[in-house]
Amino acid sequence: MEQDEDVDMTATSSPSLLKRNASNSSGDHDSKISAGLDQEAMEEEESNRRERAVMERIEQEASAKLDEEIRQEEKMNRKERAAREQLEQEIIEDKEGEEREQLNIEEKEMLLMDKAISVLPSLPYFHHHIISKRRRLDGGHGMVDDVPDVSLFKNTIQTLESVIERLKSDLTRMEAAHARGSAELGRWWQESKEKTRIELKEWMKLPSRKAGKAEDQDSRPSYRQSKYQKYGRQMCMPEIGFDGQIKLTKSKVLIVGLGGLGCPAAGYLARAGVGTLGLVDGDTVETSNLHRQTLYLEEDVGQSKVLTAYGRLRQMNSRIHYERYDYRLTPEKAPKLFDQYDVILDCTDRQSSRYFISDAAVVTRKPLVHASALGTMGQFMVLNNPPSLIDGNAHQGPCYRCIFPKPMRPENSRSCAEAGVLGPVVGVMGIVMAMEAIKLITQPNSTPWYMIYNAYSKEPFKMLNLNRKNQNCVACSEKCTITRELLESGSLDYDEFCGGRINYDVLEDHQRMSVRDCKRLMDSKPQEHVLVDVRDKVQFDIGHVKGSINLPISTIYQSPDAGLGALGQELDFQPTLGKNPTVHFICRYGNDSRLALRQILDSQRIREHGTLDYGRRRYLMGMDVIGGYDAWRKEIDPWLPDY
Amino acid sequence: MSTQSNEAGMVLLEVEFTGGLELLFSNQRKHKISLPGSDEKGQPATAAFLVRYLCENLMKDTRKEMFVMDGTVRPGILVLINDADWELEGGDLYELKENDNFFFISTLHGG
Ligand SMILES: [Zn+2]
Repeated sequence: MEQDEDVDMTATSSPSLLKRNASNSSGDHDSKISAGLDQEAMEEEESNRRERAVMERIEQEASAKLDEEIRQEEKMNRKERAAREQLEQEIIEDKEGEEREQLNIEEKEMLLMDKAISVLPSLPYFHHHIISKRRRLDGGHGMVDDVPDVSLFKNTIQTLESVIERLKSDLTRMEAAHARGSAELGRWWQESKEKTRIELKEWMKLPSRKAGKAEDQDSRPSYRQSKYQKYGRQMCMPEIGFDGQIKLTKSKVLIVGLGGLGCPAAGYLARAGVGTLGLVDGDTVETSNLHRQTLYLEEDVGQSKVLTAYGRLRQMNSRIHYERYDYRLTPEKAPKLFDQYDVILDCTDRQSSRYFISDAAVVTRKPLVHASALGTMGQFMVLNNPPSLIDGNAHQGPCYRCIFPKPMRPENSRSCAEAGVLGPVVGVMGIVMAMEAIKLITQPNSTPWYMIYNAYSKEPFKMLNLNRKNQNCVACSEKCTITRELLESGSLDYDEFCGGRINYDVLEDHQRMSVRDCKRLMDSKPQEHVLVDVRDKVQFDIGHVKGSINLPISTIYQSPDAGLGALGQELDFQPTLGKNPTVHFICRYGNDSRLALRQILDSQRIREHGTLDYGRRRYLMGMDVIGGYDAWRKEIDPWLPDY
Repeated sequence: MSTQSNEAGMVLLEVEFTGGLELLFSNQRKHKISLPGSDEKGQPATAAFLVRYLCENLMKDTRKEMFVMDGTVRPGILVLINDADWELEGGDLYELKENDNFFFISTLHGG
């Protein structure tokens, strides 16, 4: 700037010097007139005057021309200065823009780019113009008024050409999808738009400014820089890359169920930088959850899972968007919720929810990542990928009903509360779910697969080929009967479909007694009553009612008569019992004990003899203890382990 | 293709139960079994025959409905024959071969 103004000063002073020289030369001519008055002299005088007039005119013209040049030059300088000021203003605005960008997240960038793309026709010129300006400011060669930098413009056009070529191939693909009526069309459109945005943005990147200014920038890492730092380690993987990270940033993932599967899945997806993470669960944290549900701490017991998880996830990554749904998902609500997401993770724990989540994923055409775990085992599937279509799609993946057309009866299905589960087992499955969600987002064409994990097997991971698309599937085939309207109407009863609850109501009221009554009997007549605990040995060893003996229900199921034999043998060793003791049954919550007593009462031995005669004694079959071990612990003996 | 059996007319197989099914089979996951190469009607032994055989001979538990229903494995059990989905191998009608590996897995719902 300083140097430019010096040049301006010299330019304005030079015209006045020229004027002074012109007036001196006209003074010399005046002295010659007074020296001679003859004709010749007069003629010469006349000629001189004419000559002088011509000279003056020429000088005047030259002077006017010079003045005009000066005016032009001043005008140019004003223009130049105005342009420079404008550029400075733009730089300031750019800077402010960047600061705003730092505060607001990508939405702002998107908006600006969308605006830029809307003025596409003038883009090449605008691009060339701003790059030239920037170059000139840096002291390099740039465009001078209407003379373009041809090589720069050529580069501009070539970039645009490559974008157009790509757009053409996108169009071909979209036309094919349109002809088939495929729902892929929407996704390809979004993908194409996204690519265009990225390419144009790269192209519009401005060359660096003056060294001093660049330094200022580096000392303050921009938002973008922090993002590179945060995701760099995964972004430099060829499987993810810059494009993959952008896809993750734009993705919306819904996690249904925040238990042993949902906790690790949500954690990894939040850290990976998905755009939106939806969290659904209606439960509160329980102490018995803590060994496997990794988002919760001891202090969270009794708190909402969704709200607690939200707090923890925000600490892991505060720059992504979270949606909280603090309720139990129902078939009616599922489709509208799934509409808002790209990938669904089924992290629930009941068969009925497994079915309706699959059905809702089918009607909303979303890929479904499904996993489950129990005991030392886990299962994993990617379902409905690529999503099913009403009009049929040869390559669509199976849904849950394709693989399990009929539900299994509730007595065949055990829960984590009944069968137990190991934390790392369910954790492995949750993490596989997160990985598969990342794959679905970044490489949407991955094929469906099924995997089982057996922690204690010599071959812990087993891949199964279960690509069995059912052409008669009621949910996802052309013959489907489950529709979005039906789901949303709430008329589908998934609990009933899954067989409702197990019928434990197999005894008469007089065959059951409270824990207090049982305690009274045991205390008052210890020789006449004995308590049989039907839980498995592992649970019995954790804690049991004093004096009770263990006969696992599995033994009774294997053979009630053999079970009775084993019972007789066991009781024979009890020296304190009288001649005709009565046997009562207890389990954990008072459910299995009823089934066990029913099995025994229905056994051949009891049906024929009414009693169990073994050794020196005759045993009578007594009652079931209502509420089981759990009630005993609460009402009688608080020192029993609450496992 | 007829059932491949050994000289004694028996087929030697390996069966494996998982997902809780092992509880119905003496709480043991892997079993090596030998069963007749032809069924009750003298037809080559099929997967359906194997399921009946397991139910009657290997399963001690009285709750047969935990394993079979309507003459085949109950809903919720996946069967793999030599690591392939049995649906792709003909299901019930698959004819047993010496040293076949049958993998029975009950699906889980926990999370
Ligand atoms: Zn289906």
